[in-house]
Parts: sequence; structure tokens; C-alpha cells
Amino acid sequence: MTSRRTAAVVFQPDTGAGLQRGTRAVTALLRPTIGPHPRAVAISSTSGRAPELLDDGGLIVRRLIQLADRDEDVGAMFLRGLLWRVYQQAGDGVATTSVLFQAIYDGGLHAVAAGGNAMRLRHFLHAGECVIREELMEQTVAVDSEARLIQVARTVCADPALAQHLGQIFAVLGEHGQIELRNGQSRGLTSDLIEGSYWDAPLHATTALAAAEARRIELEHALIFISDLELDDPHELVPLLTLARQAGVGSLVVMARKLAGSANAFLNANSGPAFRAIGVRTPGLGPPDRHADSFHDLEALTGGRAFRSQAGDSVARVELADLGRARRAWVDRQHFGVSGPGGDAHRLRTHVRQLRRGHRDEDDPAARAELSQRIARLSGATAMLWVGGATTPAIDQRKDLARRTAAALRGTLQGGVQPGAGVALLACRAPLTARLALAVEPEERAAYRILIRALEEPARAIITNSGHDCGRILAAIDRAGAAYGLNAETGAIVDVAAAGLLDVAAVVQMAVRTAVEGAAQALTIDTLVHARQPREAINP
Amino acid sequence: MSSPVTANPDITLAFAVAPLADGERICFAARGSGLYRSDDDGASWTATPTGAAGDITAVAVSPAGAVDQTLFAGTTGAVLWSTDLGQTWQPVLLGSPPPLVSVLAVSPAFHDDGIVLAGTFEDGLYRSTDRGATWRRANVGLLDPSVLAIAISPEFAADQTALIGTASGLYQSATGGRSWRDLDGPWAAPVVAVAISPYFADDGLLVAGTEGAGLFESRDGGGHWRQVAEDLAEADIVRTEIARGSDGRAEVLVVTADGAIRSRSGEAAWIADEINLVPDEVIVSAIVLDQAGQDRPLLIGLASGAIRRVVAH
Repeated sequence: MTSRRTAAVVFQPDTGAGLQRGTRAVTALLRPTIGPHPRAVAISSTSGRAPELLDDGGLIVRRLIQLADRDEDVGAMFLRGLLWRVYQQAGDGVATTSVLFQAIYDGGLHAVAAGGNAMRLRHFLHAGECVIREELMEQTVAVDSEARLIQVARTVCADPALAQHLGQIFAVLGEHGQIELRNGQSRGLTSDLIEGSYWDAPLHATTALAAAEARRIELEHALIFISDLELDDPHELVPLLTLARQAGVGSLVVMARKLAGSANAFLNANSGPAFRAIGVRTPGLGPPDRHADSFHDLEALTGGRAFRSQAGDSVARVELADLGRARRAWVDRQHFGVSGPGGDAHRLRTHVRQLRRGHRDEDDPAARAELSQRIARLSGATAMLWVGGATTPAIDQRKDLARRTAAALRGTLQGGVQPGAGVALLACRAPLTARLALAVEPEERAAYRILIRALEEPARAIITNSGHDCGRILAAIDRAGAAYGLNAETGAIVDVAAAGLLDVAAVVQMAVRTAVEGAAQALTIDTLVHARQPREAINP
Repeated sequence: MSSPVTANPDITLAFAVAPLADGERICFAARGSGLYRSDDDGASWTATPTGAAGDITAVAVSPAGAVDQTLFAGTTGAVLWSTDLGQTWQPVLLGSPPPLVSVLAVSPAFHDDGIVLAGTFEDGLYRSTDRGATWRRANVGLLDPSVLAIAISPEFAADQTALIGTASGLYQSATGGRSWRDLDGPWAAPVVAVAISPYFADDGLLVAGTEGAGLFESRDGGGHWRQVAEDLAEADIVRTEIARGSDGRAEVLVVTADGAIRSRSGEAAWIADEINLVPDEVIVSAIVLDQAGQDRPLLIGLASGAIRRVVAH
């Protein structure tokens, strides 16, 4: 092993061997975590604390920093990058992706070492992935009941109480539903729907909240001035207050990027038992700056017109028709919310449909998540879940599990479910076998054989991790039929879908796509270049 | 669309029929001047004091009314409930600011699930799961707060399906009224009358009537909609009901504001019937008294304030 302070170039066959050792190290870490009986990985602490015990593939991958051998480290970090993307986008499926990747990569290296062309092999692996994708889509069914959602949640989180709550919540909220997680006061879980729409828009002056008996201010018949203006002079607020008084409403909400202390005081001075005026911060101010999206949503919801500093809008020209309306509004330290919005229902309906279409057509996961949040906000599809536990770390772990399960349930509602326990992947062997029978080119035959073998790996891992004999169980599964797999809890061969053993379709599809594309790409890496690691300064 | 209570202070906004154990029935009419009761199929009416100060804008009866004698009435800011067929009432406030209740509907499985839905003109939908003792807004997915009509599936216990008509279109729930899904359709006018087939699990039949744009139906559970009864293309639909036909097919009945009645069995041709109204009479509410049999007696409320009993063939 060369020193990390030495630049080096590594050629085949050392390249493949080093990468393979690195990826195998990562896969060996993750393989035991597959299935309902995952084993834990202990991560040592550098600060003298007790080791961290993890059985979640995504968290384990996140803890991987570096392997000692530089060639292995390249392989490990390459796979780590693929797995982290899966974790971020799908919330699950990390270990499945890893075992699939490793099986394909190992088979591919063997084929290349036997004289196969890596680029041709890559081409046919992609072709095989298309066949798998089609077969997986054939097996996908929509989830249509609360009971099914709870079953899926149990598969993901293995926490029956959490699965029950989340399944019930998402049965009501739908595919774009959002969950706010809070620490519970007891060891259990409680949940409730949050009515209406709300934004992260703190009060400009929390002194207004200090005067309130409760933790938030409730308003009725509210007029809402929507803007990203900076209001420094109290006199700028006079037109708004005048309009509110003339309209005879109960409250005025002034939304602004900045509201000077004197302006806030002016609002307070004009508030009383029959009328309340408060200032809140413009929602969505960055980074990243998303207040333009917030404005579109607020305009559609409340019927108001946003005053934009970039457009040169001035509060001096405000008219009553520019102000948004809501039957109820509320403000606490961090949020501003409305229910009973006064916007045009046709316009709001059209706006939400546009967002839904955008979500369907969007590929970028972050953009899709943002659109989901906006749709949920406008549709009132948000719930609060109070998560309890014996200790704070236990609560944090459970909240993380809740977050991932919620993402999985969203994916389930959007993309459906497939038979679990590795059965959906096993069923994909048949169409590949048919292709293999017709294939002529050596790389094509190799690709299909590699994929057929790789598709068994998740099921093998589940069987092995449950303490059963792999060969015997796989043979029993093949005899029972395409819908059958191992119920690892009972040891029986069952119709997995009927038994409620389900996988989120989007997770499985992402695992397959990432594994095939990643392994195919790795097979074409011929050379490693190690840059010289600079000396660390003693006193930086 | 203006609220009917401002157009005429004492028109019948809604009817309800309570079947009795002896085969007879009691009719209720929600009017601007209060709640009225008839024991002779609408021939005569008597006022039923509810204790509410304002108009009675909606009324609904438990499907097991003959047994539980439970009745609901809507007014500004409250739902009133009675467990003795209207002799005594208990108001339950709906919170502040007080909404105006537009329509009430009781679950066919009320005996077991205790579910009642209350639509309002400003606050969307309220839902009770304890027989009307408490209410909570149930507006997840509902983008229009103006609820004008509600229909609950006759097989609600199994399919948890309900339909609401709003000023901007139609919404459907498959979660027992806890959340709603916007139904895409040719909604050029407020949806003021809705009905769900008693054979919904098999025929997927939903019917929606609009104010001034006629009648629409879906035969796939709400996925696709088409206009039907083309001669009613610009009609104000007042009422639509779907009953079990003697031949096992759904029988649809539609009443329009100008006195037209249309009915059909399954996908057969529409049968036309007309109510002989005098000029300037307009129907504002209607209910079928007895869905069984060839002759279907109807109670209709007129814009003049009168109530008439007619027969649809």
C-alpha cells in the first residue's frame, strides 16, 4: 500500500481488484441488515462514549469516512455515493442496492477477466435493466386501503405502533401528505391533523406573543397584506390600517421582509379588543429563496396580490382588492397559518392541479419534494406526530425512523407496492431467461446470466439473515410458484402479497436502477489516479 | 350564487323523511322561518320549535329513525340534534366565526359509526363521529369551502365513499369523509345535487346536477364524467336520487327548477315527466317520499314558499 502522500496511478488488473475489495467491504457491512431480523453494526466513538449500534443501511453508510487502502477506498466511496443517493431519494433500499450492485459487479469483473468487452457488457446490462423494470411495473399494484398502508409501514419500520399511526395518517393525507415530528411527553405516540395551511413565517415582534395567554395568537376575519417589502416607517402602514378599518374586519396581518421596531409598535398601538394587527416575516426567504413560490400559493389561497420589492411595488398604492382574506388566521413564534381562505376556488383548484402536473413531470427529487410540500400545504394535508421514547436518543432514533417511513409511504401512494421478501426480483428472472435463450453475442449472454444471478441476492440475504438454509429455501420458493417467498418471521413459504409482505415499488425500482447503472459504470473504470494528500498544518 | 335564504326569507331549503316503525312516515321541511313537520305526506305542516334564533337551513334524519328517532337540523353556527323526532333539541356550536350550515347527511351505517356530515357555505365540511355530539372540520384536500350538496354511499360501511358538490366542482372521499379528492370534470357551474348508486361497487354510478349547466354522470366511480339528458343541458338541477330498481338496475330520478322530471333505469332512455307548474313558479327543493313502486310521490318546495306533493311516474 502506497502512502497517501504519494501521487500514484493504478492500472488494471490492480484497478478492478482494489475497487472490488472496497465495494465488498461496504456490502459486507450492509448485507446483515437486510430483512426483518437485521443485525447491528457497532460504530466506535472517538470521544470515549459507548459505540453506536446501527441497523439502518443509510445511517451506516453515512458513518463511512475512509478505508485505509487507497484503492479500496475509491471503490468504497464510489459505492457509498450511489447508496447515499438512494437513501436520500427513496429513504430505504440501501442494503438491497448494495447486494445487487456487488453481485453484478463481481459477475461483470469475471466476464471481463474472461475476455469480455466492458463497454459491450455495460450496454447489455442496461438492456437487461429495462427488462427488469418492465417486469417490476407489471407486478406493481396501487395501495388502496389504510390496512395496506399500515402493512407497508410495518415492513419499513418494524415498529407496530409507529406503523399504525403513520398508516392511518397517510390514509387521510394522501400521496403528498407531510408530517411534522415533535418530541412527545410520554413513551408513546400521539398524532393529530393540522388544519389549514401554514408557513414558516415568524412574528416580527415576539412581544405580541408574550401578551397572549396561549402560545399563539388566533385571528378571525383576517385581511392579509402579502409582500417582501421592507417597512421602516410606521406611516407606511396607515393605508393598510385604513383599509382594514373601512372593511370592518377583525384583524390585519402585515407580511413583510422587514418591519422596523417602530412600525411594529405602531401596529400594536392600533390593536385592541375588536381589532388586531400583527406583522409576520415573508415566508420562503432564503437561502434558498423560495418566497416567489410562497407568493403564488398565498395569492391563489387568499385571493390577495403580492407586493414585490423587485417590481417596485409600494404599500402606498394598496387597494382593498389587493389584500388576501381568511376566516381564521394564527401566528406563533415560527409560523403563520390560515384556514377558511378567501381566494377564488376555481383559481386555487387550477393552481394545485398545475403543481400536481409539475410533480408528475419532475425528475429532480429535491424539486419533487418541494412541490409535494406546496401541494400538501394548499390542500391542508399535514399532520403532527408526537414521538415518545425512554430517552432522548431513543426519541431521535424513532423520529428518524418515522421520517423514513413517511417517505416510504409517500412513495407507496405515488408509485404502488410490489411483492416483498425479494420475490418481485426473483420473478424478473423469467423474462431475462427468455432473452438469454435468444442471445448470441457473448457479452449479451454474460449480462443476462449476471443479472439473473444478481436478482437472487436480496432473497438470499433475507434467508441467510433469518438463519435458514439458503439453497433449500430457494428451491422451495421455486417449487411453490412466482408469488411465493419466505416469511422470515414464521419460516413458512407464503404468498407474500397475501401475507402483507410488501415493498415500496419506487424503492425497489430505484435499487435496481442504481445497482445496474452503478456496476456497469464501475466495470468501465480502468485506471485510478491518487492525488497526493497535502500535509496537515499543525496550527491552521 | 346567492344564498337562497336572502332571495326569499321563507322558502323550503331542504326536506327529510323519517320512516316510522308502523310503516308511516314523518316529513320535515327546513325553512327560513324554522323547522316544520308533516304527518300526512305534506298535506299539512306544523312548526317544530328548535330553539334556534335563525333560519333552519338543512335537515337530515337517521336511517334508523324509526328506532333511534334521531334528527339533525342546521342553522347559522350550529347543528341541532334531536333524539325524539324533533320534540326536544340540543344545539352544538361549530366554532367561530359561525358558518352557515348548507346541507346535512347521515351515514347509512349511523347505528354503528355515528357519522354525520355537515356542509357549510364558508367553512367546508364538518364531520361528527359521535352522533352529532361534537364536530370537527374535515377539509383535507377540499379546496372549495362552499359545500352545496352531499351524498353518502349506501354501502358506506364498506366503501367509505361520499361525494360533495361545491361552487367550483365535485369532490369525492374514500376515507369516510376525513379527506377529499378533487374530481376532474366539465364543471362549468356550481354542483348543487349529487347522488351515489346503491350498486356503486358494481356499476360505479355517480350523478351530479349543476345550477344552469345540466346533469352529469360517471360510470367508473368518478374517473370520467359526461353530460346526460341532453335536453336538460342548461337546466338548474334541484334534486337527483338513485334508487334500487325492481330489475336490479339503478334508477335515476332528476328534478329541475322549472318542473321537469327525468328518470331512467340503468342505461335505458330517459323518461320525461313534467310537473304542471303555474308560470313563474320555480322549484327550489325536492325529495322523493317513496322510492319503491312505479309511482313516486315527491314533495317539492317552491320559490313562492309553497310546498306541493306531486307524483312522478
